[in-house]
Amino acid sequence: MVLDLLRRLELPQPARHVVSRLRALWLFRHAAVGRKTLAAGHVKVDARGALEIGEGTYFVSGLVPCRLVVHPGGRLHIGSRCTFNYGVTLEARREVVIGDGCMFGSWVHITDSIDGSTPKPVRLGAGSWVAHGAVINPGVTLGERAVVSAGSVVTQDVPARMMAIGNPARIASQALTRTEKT
Amino acid sequence: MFASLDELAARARLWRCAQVGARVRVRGRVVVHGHGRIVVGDDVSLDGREVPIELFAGPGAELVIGDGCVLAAGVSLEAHRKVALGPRCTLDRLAKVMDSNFHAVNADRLAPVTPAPVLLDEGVKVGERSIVLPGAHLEAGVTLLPYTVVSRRVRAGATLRGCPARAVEKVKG
Repeated sequence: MVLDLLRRLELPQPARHVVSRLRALWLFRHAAVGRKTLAAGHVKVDARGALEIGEGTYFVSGLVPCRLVVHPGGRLHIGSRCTFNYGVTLEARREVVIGDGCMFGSWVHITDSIDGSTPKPVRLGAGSWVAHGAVINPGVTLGERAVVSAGSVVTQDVPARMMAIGNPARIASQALTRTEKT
Repeated sequence: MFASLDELAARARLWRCAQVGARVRVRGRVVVHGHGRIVVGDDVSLDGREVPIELFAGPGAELVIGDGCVLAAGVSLEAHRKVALGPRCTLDRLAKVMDSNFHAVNADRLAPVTPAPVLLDEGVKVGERSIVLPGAHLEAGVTLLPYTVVSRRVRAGATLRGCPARAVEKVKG
């Protein structure tokens, strides 16, 4: 109950920013982490391999912490300006590379090996968006600014600016045509 | 004044809600946030022991939980305009109901998007890890099996499964 109350304590924005920055510095102390990376909530970090986090990446606070697991000899690279909602799990046995400016919804699960099978690298292109509850299987590559819809299970590559929907995910026929700011 | 200490504790945990009905039961942690209006009906049961439950209503939005609804661990309801659960709805573990996509798919991703209200009518059952997306209207007695993703209107009594959701069977008569 006390913890509950402490969590509810709402600090003004500048103070929250400082707390988030300090939390990030502490949590990612064993990682190669860029400037301005913020952790507004707890992140479970288990980095026995190489963990690299770019500049200005943001972990929001939420119901459950994010989990970053890097096995010995593995490499987990997170680009700059990525945003992580709560409950995201990233697990790297060999290699998981997240491009710059990616967005992750809550409960997203990305791993390069299921149940200890031979790891196949996972790559997410810059600006891709993985929505709530989506799962990305080992060996999948997402193109630049690709979108994975909520609850999808991605088993094949998604080309740039395309959208993957369903379980197993299919590529929506229409490309995301409009050019956008990143 | 209150039926029991349990109810008093439940009300204390839901103090941010605009309205809380009688005999509400809260276990574990419930995170209530946002500046909108949240209404919790009578006999509602919230069990956030395993994973906390999230209730969110953005500014000017309304989140209504009908009488006798049961929300299991990790259920997350997010209203940016309106999310309404009818009486006796059941939401299983980690189910998610949202009325906004948060980001535009085909435009600037940081620009604001228009929410589409989500309605769940009487006795709707939402399975484990199912996702109810903006614009969905689940009519009375609809059942979503686990891991279903739905964003459209579903006729009364239907059972859906899969992503994207497909009907499993139709109620006769």
